[in-house]
Amino acid sequence: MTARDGTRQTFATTVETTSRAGSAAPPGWSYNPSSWSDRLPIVLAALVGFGIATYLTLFQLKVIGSVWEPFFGDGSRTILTSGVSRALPAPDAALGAASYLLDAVAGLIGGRRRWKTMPWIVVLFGLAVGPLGAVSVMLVVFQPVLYGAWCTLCLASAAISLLMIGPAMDEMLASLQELRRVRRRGGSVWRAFWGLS
Amino acid sequence: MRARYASVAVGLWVMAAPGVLGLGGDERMLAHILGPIVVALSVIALSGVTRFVRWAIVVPGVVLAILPWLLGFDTAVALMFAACGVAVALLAFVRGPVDERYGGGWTALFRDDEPGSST
Repeated sequence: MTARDGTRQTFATTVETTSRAGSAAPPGWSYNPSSWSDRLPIVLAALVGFGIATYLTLFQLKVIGSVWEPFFGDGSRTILTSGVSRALPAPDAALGAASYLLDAVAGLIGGRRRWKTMPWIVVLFGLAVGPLGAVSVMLVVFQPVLYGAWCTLCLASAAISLLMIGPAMDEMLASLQELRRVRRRGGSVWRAFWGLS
Repeated sequence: MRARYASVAVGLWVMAAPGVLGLGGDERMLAHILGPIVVALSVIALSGVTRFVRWAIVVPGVVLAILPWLLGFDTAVALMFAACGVAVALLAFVRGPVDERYGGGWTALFRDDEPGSST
């Protein structure tokens, strides 16, 4: 964000709007949502989330015996060994870790013009980031309501997945607008989605 | 932007209120369900491209303002929650600055003509 804003201000004074965003920016956009400066922070956030979720998984699988909890006493233990956390075949933290990894990989695949050349990965990325955030909010609500406890790292993980949503959605919008343009021109949306035309 | 941060702060307070004020029962339940929802929607609405999500905050805001009275909470507690609810609902109306242009935004997906370069 900061890098992008910096670039914008530096260039804005000298270069005209359309060219400042570079040829990689979608039509009518003031920046390119697929640029690395836009995507790497999201990938980094996903990797931090992956680290946290992996640590919590190790506790849930009893590989490590205790879990870091600076604020809420026995809260993390209560939450991480609760019924909800074991409702699925895999520990819920493991599913979180897998989602974060999918976010990171989907954030890295493709070049600076992927909003146009690879809409499928952009849409997959958006769909992976969105529901992860929704599930996070649900789990945050479950913590105190069902168990009367809070878990610091679970809250941190939820915060990360929420912060990723907005920044990931701009690219999704650019891809959807591109598919809309293809359709308006009478082209094949299906082929454009897979980057075949 | 400042409106979103304020909204996040109010939501965090609602989440923390039961622990800080020692509330239990329905009061705790209400705060622990609506607080995270307000925080989540406000965080998503931080980004210019998802700024429209701010309108969704009106719903938990109104519920937070009305439900404490229907559930017969303590007047002081009900007033506190109502103030928080009204605050986030009103903050939702503040758009805040959006510096970037998004090729006509989400509405461009539903228009038949070529989108202009505004928004």
